[in-house]
Amino acid sequence: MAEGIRDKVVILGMGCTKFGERWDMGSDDLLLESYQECMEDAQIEKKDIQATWLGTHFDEVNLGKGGTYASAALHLPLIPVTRTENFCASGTEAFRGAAYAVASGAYDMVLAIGVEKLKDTGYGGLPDSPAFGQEALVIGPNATAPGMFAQLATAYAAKFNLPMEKVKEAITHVSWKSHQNGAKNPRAHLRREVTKEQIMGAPMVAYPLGLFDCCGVSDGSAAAIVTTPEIAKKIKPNDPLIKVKALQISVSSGEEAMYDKWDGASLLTTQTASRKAYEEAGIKDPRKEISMMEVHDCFSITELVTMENLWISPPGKGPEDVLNGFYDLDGEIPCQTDGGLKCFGHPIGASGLRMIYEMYSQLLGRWSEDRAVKNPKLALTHNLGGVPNQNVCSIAIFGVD
Amino acid sequence: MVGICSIGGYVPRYRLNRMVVYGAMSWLAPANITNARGEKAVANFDEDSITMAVEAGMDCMHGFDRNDLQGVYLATTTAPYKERQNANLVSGALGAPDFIRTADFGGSLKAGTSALLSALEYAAANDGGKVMVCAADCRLGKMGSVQELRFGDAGAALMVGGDDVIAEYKGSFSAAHDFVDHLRGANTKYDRMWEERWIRDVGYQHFVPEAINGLCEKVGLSPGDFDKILYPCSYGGARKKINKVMELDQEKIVDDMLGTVGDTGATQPLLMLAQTLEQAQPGEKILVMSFGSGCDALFFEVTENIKKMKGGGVTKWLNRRADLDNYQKYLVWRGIAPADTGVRGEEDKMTRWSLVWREHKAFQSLQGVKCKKCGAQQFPPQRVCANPDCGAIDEMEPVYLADKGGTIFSYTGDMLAASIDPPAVYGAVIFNGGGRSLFDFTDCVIDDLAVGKPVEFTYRIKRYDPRRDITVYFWKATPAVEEVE
Amino acid sequence: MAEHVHQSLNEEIRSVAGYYIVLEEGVLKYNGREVLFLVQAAEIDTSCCGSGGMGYIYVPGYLQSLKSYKNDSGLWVSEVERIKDEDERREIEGLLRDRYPVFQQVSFA
Repeated sequence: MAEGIRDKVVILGMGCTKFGERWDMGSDDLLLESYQECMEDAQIEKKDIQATWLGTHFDEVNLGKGGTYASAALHLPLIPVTRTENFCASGTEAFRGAAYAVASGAYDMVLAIGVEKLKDTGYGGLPDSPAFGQEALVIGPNATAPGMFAQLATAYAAKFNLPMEKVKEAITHVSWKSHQNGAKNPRAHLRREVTKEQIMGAPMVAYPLGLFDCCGVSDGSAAAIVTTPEIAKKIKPNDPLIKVKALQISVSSGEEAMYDKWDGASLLTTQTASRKAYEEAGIKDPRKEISMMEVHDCFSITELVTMENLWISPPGKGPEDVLNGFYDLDGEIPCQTDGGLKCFGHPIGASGLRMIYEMYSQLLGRWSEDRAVKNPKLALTHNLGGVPNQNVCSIAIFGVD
Repeated sequence: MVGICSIGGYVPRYRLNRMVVYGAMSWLAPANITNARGEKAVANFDEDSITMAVEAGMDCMHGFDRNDLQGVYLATTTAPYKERQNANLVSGALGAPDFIRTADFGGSLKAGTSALLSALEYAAANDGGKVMVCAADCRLGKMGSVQELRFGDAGAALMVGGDDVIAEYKGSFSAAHDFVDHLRGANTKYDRMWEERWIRDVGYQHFVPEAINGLCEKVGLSPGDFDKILYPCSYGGARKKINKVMELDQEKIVDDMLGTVGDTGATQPLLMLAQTLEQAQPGEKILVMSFGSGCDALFFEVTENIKKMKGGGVTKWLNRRADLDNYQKYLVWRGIAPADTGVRGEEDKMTRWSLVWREHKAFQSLQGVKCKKCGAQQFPPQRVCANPDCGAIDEMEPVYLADKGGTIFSYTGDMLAASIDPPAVYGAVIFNGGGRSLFDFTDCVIDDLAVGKPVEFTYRIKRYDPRRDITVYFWKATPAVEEVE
Repeated sequence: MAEHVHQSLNEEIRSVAGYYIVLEEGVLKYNGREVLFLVQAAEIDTSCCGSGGMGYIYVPGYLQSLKSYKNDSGLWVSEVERIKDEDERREIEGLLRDRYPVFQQVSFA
């Protein structure tokens, strides 16, 4: 009988590059930067790594396909390097692969590393690619993510009978709060505080989403070394152990896109994956037990709706919690403590691992007081790829024992 | 007897005021002021002859069973393909059966009537078998030209057959003259014409009477016996002379819609005929002719069946309009002026023909499926039922969705999506009968839309691949066009 | 009553997806009242989902008092009344579009 991943895997070390328009860095440079910090933190050597899971989504302007070129960039010693990809959840998928490798007993010391180099396209935005398949090139609409998530916003307001003003007020607070946090973070791409007036004065990209509700393109990489609790205890006897409590992924069934039941106002995958994750981690009341979160704030509306889809804010009450500061850095469950995608941008293969990096660092109490969450016990990361009616959602829960 | 069973029309929504064009180009061609009155219909950036022909054909199909069609003929002088049967794109979009006749008619502005005659001959030889005749032209004149001002874009469709005929076909007269008033070589984009005075005096003023008299002689009538006479001639002065010489009653000469649509080329006679039949009375005798490299003149007599006519018409399309107050948009849409689409715009999208063939029912006909187990309609076609409580495998029957219409589930106006006409409008549409899918919306502004509003599906250009000269088509959604009372 | 904080003109206000700048501030007379409006330009050059931009007019509301005090950051603050009525919004939008015909958007706070 399967038992889940709880308490079988420990994060021994992590690294994360500065995210941004790294014109001076190629994919190999970014990999090296996060790898070096990670190895130093884990206190191990290259020869100790037994396998690697690599998360990267776009290969059009990046590293190429497969695991070969990442191995060559780091000169890994003829070990397995497996590329995983699941849209924006690619980083968490790399972590999952590494964690399951350790939990299965097949390996003791595994590297999970994610990277995305997006700024060599010559134009703004993600590389043009048939990411949604060949059929979609004919039958898919000329859509962008803001347009798709804008429909989530209007459906949400309609479902809970909230005036759009209220929703806008809440999502403005969401962005503002993330920028406050990101301003303090030396690794963030965007380190400026923004006022609510500035957010409101920005143009509409796809109503009701404005300029500050949308995410951006960035280059970046993040890495983790995972191992068993026993080995971690031997290498770092004086440090608390950061244990993996749950790893769950849910992928759309196709019903949201094609069958007339979905109300357009919530993410079925987030609801499913989080429910299973809480079960796996033994969490009965997430609102009380989760200490802090990093969610996929590709759009501020995504973050708002996710608070409810994670079963933390009651349905329709997300805006209230947000505006009461429940998710602010000094609130009950701080969210986006590093600034989130709003401040880091979104190098797809790296983001999931960047989220884990922040939760890991907070659980170890590594940040200065102005950025730190007080006495965190359980951390949740949420990584979403795709659009509201067709997506993949990954949930990871970590705890410090 | 054989004749016309149904009519359909299509006039694009955008109308370009001729004074806007003249205002932009009068510095080069001030004499064009005489051609600068009224407005011309301009195909949208996602329309061409094929899409307009489909629209007119779908309009014509209302109330009829597409499985009864035995042929689809397309008449156009602006076909997107020299080789790849253009009529097949139309018949596929109309959901016509596979085992029918299709043919492209072209080469001159009498292509429309030639197609109509061929269809009538098919019906006569095949027990009244039904043939859909669609015509659409999208002709171009150079900037500052007379043609640019005169030409308009439109489509028309007539279904021909033997049952419940609304206008009986009673005879024709044809002439083939290599009279080159206009021409386009095989690789030429813009229309060329000779001196207008010659076209008027030696062309229209000679050949129109020749055709009318020729037909009259053949069918044993005189021009005065006709209730309606339709002939294309955008020269007002020449019209007056022809009417006078032929002693034609002004009342009976049908408006050629030059001031509201323009000179629509091969479509013109069929468009005028569709509009005439929209308002015709039983017993009326109609003469319709084309002019271009000779002519065809046809005699129809309206029957009692006109009173219970199904199909469509022209008036509602004329009434559905929006101003295109921007000449440069027209120039970029028609590929006349080069526009910068950025580095992203240069990214290559290959058309994979093996995939297109495999999916051709879905792409061409918007064919979805309906699950035999649970009844759920779905698009694109699935082998595994999308109903999470069903999941049956290979229990699907095909459903033609293009004429079902739907309602808006959600929509957005996107300032970011690369669009030749921002903001890009798209959203989820629930098909009438169930199932939903995402569609681009076209021919509307965001304020025209609301959740729950009815939409129709319209066949449009998805993209044009300039490297390989391939036009890719798919369906979009557009607010349902109101019927005219 | 709401506050409007006057941003510096021609300074980039950056988001991770792009930036906007305030080109000019203006006051429109409408029905005996004064409407504060800002003429702004945006460039969406680092968004994940493509690139774009636009000119737009942003209307904080009816002016109650112009630049009545400075806030802690040293920026002028005006007091405005938000414009909620649909008819008023439509008419004001029409007037602004007439004045600035090439701008793509008019939005209200």
